[in-house]
Amino acid sequence: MQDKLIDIKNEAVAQILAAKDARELEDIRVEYLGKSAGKLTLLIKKLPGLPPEEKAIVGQFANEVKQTIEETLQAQKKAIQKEKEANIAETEKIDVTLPAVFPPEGHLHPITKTLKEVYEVFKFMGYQMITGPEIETDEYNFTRVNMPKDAPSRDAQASFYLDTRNSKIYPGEYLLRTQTSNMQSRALERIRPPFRVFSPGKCFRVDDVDASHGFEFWQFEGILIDKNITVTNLLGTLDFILKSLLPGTEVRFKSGHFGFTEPSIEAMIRCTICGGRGCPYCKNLGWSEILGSGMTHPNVYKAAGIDPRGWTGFAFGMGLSRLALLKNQIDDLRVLTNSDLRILKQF
Amino acid sequence: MLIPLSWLKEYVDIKIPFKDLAERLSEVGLTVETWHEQDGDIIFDPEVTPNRPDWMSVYGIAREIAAVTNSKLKNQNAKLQFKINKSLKIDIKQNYDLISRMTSVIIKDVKVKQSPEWLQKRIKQIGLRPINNLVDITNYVLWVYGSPLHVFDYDKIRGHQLIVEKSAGGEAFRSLDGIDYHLPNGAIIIKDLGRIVDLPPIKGGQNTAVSTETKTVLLHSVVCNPILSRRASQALGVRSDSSAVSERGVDPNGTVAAVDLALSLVLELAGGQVASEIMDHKTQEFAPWTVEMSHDRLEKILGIKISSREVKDILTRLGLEVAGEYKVTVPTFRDDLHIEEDLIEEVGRIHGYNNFPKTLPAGPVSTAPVAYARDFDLEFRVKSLLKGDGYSEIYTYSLVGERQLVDLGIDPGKTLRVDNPISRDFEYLRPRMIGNLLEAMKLNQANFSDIRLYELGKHYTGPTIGKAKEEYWLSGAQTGEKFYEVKGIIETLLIQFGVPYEIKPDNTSAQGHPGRSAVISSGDKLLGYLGEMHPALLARFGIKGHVSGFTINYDTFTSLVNLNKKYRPISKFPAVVQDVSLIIPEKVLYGDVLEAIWSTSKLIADVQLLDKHEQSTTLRITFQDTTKNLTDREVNELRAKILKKLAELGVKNKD
Ligand SMILES: [Zn+2]
Repeated sequence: MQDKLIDIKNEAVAQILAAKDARELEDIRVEYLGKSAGKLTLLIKKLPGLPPEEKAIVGQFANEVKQTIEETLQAQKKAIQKEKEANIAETEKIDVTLPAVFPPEGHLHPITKTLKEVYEVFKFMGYQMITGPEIETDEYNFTRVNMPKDAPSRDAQASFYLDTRNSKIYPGEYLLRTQTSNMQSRALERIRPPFRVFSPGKCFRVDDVDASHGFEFWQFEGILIDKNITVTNLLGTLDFILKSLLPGTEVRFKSGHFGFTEPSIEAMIRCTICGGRGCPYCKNLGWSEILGSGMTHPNVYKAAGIDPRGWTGFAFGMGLSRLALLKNQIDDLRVLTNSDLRILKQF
Repeated sequence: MLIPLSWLKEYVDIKIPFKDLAERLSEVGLTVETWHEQDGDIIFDPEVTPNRPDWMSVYGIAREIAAVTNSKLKNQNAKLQFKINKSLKIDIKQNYDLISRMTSVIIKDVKVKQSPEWLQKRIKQIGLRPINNLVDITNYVLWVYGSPLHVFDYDKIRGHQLIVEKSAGGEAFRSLDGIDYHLPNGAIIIKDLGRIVDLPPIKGGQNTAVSTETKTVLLHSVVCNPILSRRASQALGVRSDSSAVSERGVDPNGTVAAVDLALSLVLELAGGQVASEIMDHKTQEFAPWTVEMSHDRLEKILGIKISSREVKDILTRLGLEVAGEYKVTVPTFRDDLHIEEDLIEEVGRIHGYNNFPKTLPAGPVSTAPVAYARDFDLEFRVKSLLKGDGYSEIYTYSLVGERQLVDLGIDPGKTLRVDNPISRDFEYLRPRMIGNLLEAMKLNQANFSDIRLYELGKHYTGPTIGKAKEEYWLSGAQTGEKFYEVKGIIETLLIQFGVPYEIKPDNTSAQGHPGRSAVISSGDKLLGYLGEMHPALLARFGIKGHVSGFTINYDTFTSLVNLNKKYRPISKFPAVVQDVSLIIPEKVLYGDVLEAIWSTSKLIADVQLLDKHEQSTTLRITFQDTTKNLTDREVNELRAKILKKLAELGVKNKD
């Protein structure tokens, strides 16, 4: 009986050490240790038939054999695994230069991306975002921001007037807003000062379409009303906003003229095309106008029923479309309304 | 308007290089960006803001240059001495509401001929064509002083009378350059005995124009009502150099100097004798006015410290008279200065905004909700989600053409429209974005097989302007029969933003596929639609293949967003999972089956569709009691209850 056990042990160990993979090892385990027909299992099943003194010795030896086989199986299993791992560089090699499998990837529009930046800068400065109607009355769009009927300053903002058929509204009363300044009228009317708000949105003007003009475009307007607000506050705010939105730019100011502000100030930035050396785009000046602003005109407060002596503040407006062009080096305004994915995928 | 530098130098010393001058003028608001060199002179084209008609003249610009460069303004043209022979008369019937001042003079025995070289050169430099000495003189003086002048052939004025009137509308008028106009109502006209002889400030009439035979002329300078001038110009679509300056308001005290200069030039270049006194018809004396400004308020608004000496110096250089601190007398050529803020601007701009320190407002920052507030963070998160779904964002025009509306099955007669579209393609305000979306899909189909686009923008609805409404909608489309993908995108959106929703079949939409469309609602609120587009609609837009899409009322969506999260611990007790195979009759919707199962017990934690064949549908139901272990008996009872409920719908258990 013991000889038989020794034979089984030697035979099993030899087989195990010759095994090449996990499946072979499993076959060997079943051959010797299988629950029903394993060679060692069958022998052990015969143990109860042995005389008691022999049974104890053989029993212990049989256990040692079983343990040896199991340990050898484990050791060989580890050895095989180790060898396999050592070779995966070759056996599991792939060509990493083959094309990637891309997840579906959409794109945000440059206006949205630019607005996000604008939003973050304003949020940082404590401005809340507001939006309002695009179909607007002449009163909110013009009159309340001190651009009365027949004011020459309206000439630059030719309006689309709404067809008033089948309504009780007079022709000319409703238009598509030409500027986000309609939100100056509305904010002053509805928001109790002090406040800081900004309002981006679409504006409409009767204009020919070319690389730098369109009849629909985006603007944003910033409005701050408080006590003791000064021109230096306005200049500091504009300087901060422009340098945040266009890192590395330089800012200069010049006197301007807008109905809704007095004094009125325009901001200029270093020409983004030539960097200030002078080029056709900036008419060789090295600077280009980017923003209109000023201290809110007393008439604007009066139109909203606010005492102009009690409050001071400023407003400024800037082309969001224009900023999106500058930030993405787009040379044609029409790109922003072109839905060609060959364009959209670039952003 | 073109300004030659050499002409300016007749009135002011300019010692700095032109480029520096242009920069300095631009800084104070007179933008000089375009110029060219011509025969050793520089001709520039300043952009004059509407508040500064005084800058529409050589003398006015010279005055500004003198102020900003602190140099002397040279003497005005010396007054000419002449003899007056009051032999000729003109009967002028003024209307001061139309023309607040008219300064006239008659000159006889003039010789109409070509202008001398120097005058022709100036006329050419400013972009005009020399005509004859008299007409050239009027243009020359207009350029010098910004006061419109007109010269009539005195002998052609019937009845030797001039009557200022408003046009009634429809009158015919032939201008001196031979163009026929039908006048609008309310234009300023001057008549002689029965004829319109002048349309000030736009154009003079041919019937009284100066010719080579002209012997006697009437020269006058007029100050026209700016609003009427502007309206007439707009109605006629004509803007002359005179009307451009008149619309902005000419200096009412400028006519006398203008006539003086013109008269002296006529006598010099055309000879003749003054045949009338200088007739000055004016509604009133145009006196300067005073505006008060306090130094305290000046510094409070500008935010700088400035000496009162500098303030006085700046204002004086600009031609204003200053007394005390500060009582400022404003001359009539500065009609833009009427309130304290106007004067503060003068000090600020001449002091130079680039010399100001930059500070930030120190006041409070409010976080209280405001009117018109918009949550951009939410908008950006929604867009980022769609970006992750492979959707690209587009921005399209709000104005669309009638053709698109018709293709969408929308009645243009009940769509908001503008009276003055730039073209028929951009005439109506879009009541839906889907038309633009489909056009964008078509644009891309030649280059892409998988197209996914969306826009967050406005719908403009209401059959008339009186009932107009603007609402933000979120609309998207993608190629293919992708109902379930689109449904997944929309459900993810609604779940992520905490919007409760229901999705039900819908066959009411004209744009949706009648068998593959669904309506999305939240309680009694309509959220939108999703599904495949109607094949007939796609054909009308020239789109090949299938398109699926969605449209969500973004305003309703945002009103329902709930981003509050409440943590629920993971149950300590194991869940029990059971699969059931069902035979669902064709007319029973899966949604009804789901609803029946969910309504059975609160212990149902999840129901998943595992498998769906024609005959059999396998569901995996998860039971979970967060307070104790579920026993086999309890689970079996729940299962039996579910099957019983389903049986009521006609759904059989396959096992
Ligand atoms: Zn440049």
